[in-house]
Amino acid sequence: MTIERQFQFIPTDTGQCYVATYQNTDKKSTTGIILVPPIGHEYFRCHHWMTETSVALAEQGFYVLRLDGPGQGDSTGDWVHSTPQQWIDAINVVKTWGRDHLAIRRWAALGIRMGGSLLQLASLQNLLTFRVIAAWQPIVQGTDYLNNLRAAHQVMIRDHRRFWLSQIGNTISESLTKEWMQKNIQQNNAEECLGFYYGPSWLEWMQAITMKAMAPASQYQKSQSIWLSDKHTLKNLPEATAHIDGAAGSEWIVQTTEDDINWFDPNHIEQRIYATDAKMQLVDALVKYAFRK
Amino acid sequence: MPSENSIQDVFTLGRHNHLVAIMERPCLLERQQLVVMINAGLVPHVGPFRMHVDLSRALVDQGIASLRFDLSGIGDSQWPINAAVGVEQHLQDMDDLTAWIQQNFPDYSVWVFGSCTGADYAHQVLCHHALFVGGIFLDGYAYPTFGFHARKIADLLKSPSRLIAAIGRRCLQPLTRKKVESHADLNLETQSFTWTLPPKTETEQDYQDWLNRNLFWLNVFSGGAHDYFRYSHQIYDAFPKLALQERCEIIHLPRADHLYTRVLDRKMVIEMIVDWMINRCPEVVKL
Repeated sequence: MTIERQFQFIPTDTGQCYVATYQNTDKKSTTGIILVPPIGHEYFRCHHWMTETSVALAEQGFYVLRLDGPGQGDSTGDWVHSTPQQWIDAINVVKTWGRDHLAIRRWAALGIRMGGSLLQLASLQNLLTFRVIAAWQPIVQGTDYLNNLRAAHQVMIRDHRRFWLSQIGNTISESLTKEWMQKNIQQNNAEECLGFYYGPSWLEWMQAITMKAMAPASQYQKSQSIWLSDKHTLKNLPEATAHIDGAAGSEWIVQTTEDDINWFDPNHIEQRIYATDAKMQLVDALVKYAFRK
Repeated sequence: MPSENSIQDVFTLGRHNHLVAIMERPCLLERQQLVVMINAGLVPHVGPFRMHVDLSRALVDQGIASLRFDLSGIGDSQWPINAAVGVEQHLQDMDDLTAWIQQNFPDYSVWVFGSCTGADYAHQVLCHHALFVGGIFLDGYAYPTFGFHARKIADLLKSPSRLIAAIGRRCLQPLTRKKVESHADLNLETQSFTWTLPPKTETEQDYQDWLNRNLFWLNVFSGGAHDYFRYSHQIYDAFPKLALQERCEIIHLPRADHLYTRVLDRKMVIEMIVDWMINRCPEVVKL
């Protein structure tokens, strides 16, 4: 079995979007899957996982398109100026490109962390349409996510092992924090968290994420949802989904994974993720539902 | 902001066509210079916290092209079938890249950029390939000197908590030290973030060779290199027999961490590198 990989820049309204495609040359397919990455430092941690998962999905017969969002990776733009709407637009452009250039007829999407939340919310608003949306460890409470990010950033910039000079006298550590706050104010309300300035657009959008807003409501949603997360993240799930009319027909699968990942450990913000359990579960679920007639 | 002055292309290369490189070329100004960026550890070609992309775009605004490159098994590049072991494969990748540049961009003056383990590779590339005219190393090679040890002791005395911690570590060292037989015994993850400093005499010989070849190189050290680098003149002091001042520039940014995680630190180091590059290659051809 040979997996053919190709890499290209696709023109979008805001510039160019970097897209990697994976195709099984022995199993030509018209079913495509778009991989939407996580944001910020999590993109780097998940990159290897995404390439491995792309290959695993291609082996199962999907035409895989893995993209870098606007302001991320090799795509054009700065992260601080990028917006969720630009991401949704880019996903739609990639979808159109896949339909026109690769003859893909059926679509599924796999979003990782914030990528999963973006897919789910955009799908509920009918901004994106996919047959199946799979989300791995989606963010289900935006304020918690932001608070964890902020807290991890504060721990990181005070970490004497990382910022060695702050060891020599406490005053330097304090001045670092002051400088950080002053510079943040100068950046048009952008906030620095673990290596990136988050612009007001993303901050506002993230704060609006709640479990209730995210929960698939079959009466509104055309896509089928698969969530893969840990039990702790999904603990409020029954309460949040009490309003959903389960008789409307759409299926919603929630699975838990054994892979235990601390996303906010400032000591490991650049460490690769090897989530083998999650990868296999997601691939199996996507194969089961995306190819179903 | 997105660089509107550039053209981005993706290339696949290598003897197994397994390597991926992104080339960013200027549209308006052209200096016929190309900076090749090597992975920092296992971080993909976009660089730690997107540093390589930001640097590429800052360079391209000044008319300098760049090539962000993934070594085998990192980022978008694959491990080839029948690959050599770890570092050997990566050095083979650099041979492939060099041959590819020679074939496709023969008119360019080529520089190499590397951070962390990338700096280690960049050093070796500069030694083995005549194609390159200079290098930029972030937390690359440096050797302790009398000045280094004096500053280390002074820094310890300035901070009692560090002094106590250092004594504690020294006392516990025999109990906690893990024995590593050789670099080859480490797994890929560990190998990719660690490198062994070569003997000083070897590096001295390399520098002498670089001086003979009229190369220019820039060494940038962050606070993350404090274990072996503490002051700007340390490299000059470590090699007193060599006249390095005219060819080798050193920048010390002790407030930054090893990966330039803070945005402002990253912006600062990028600006410094671009300024240094502009001074090394002043000719501008307007397209």
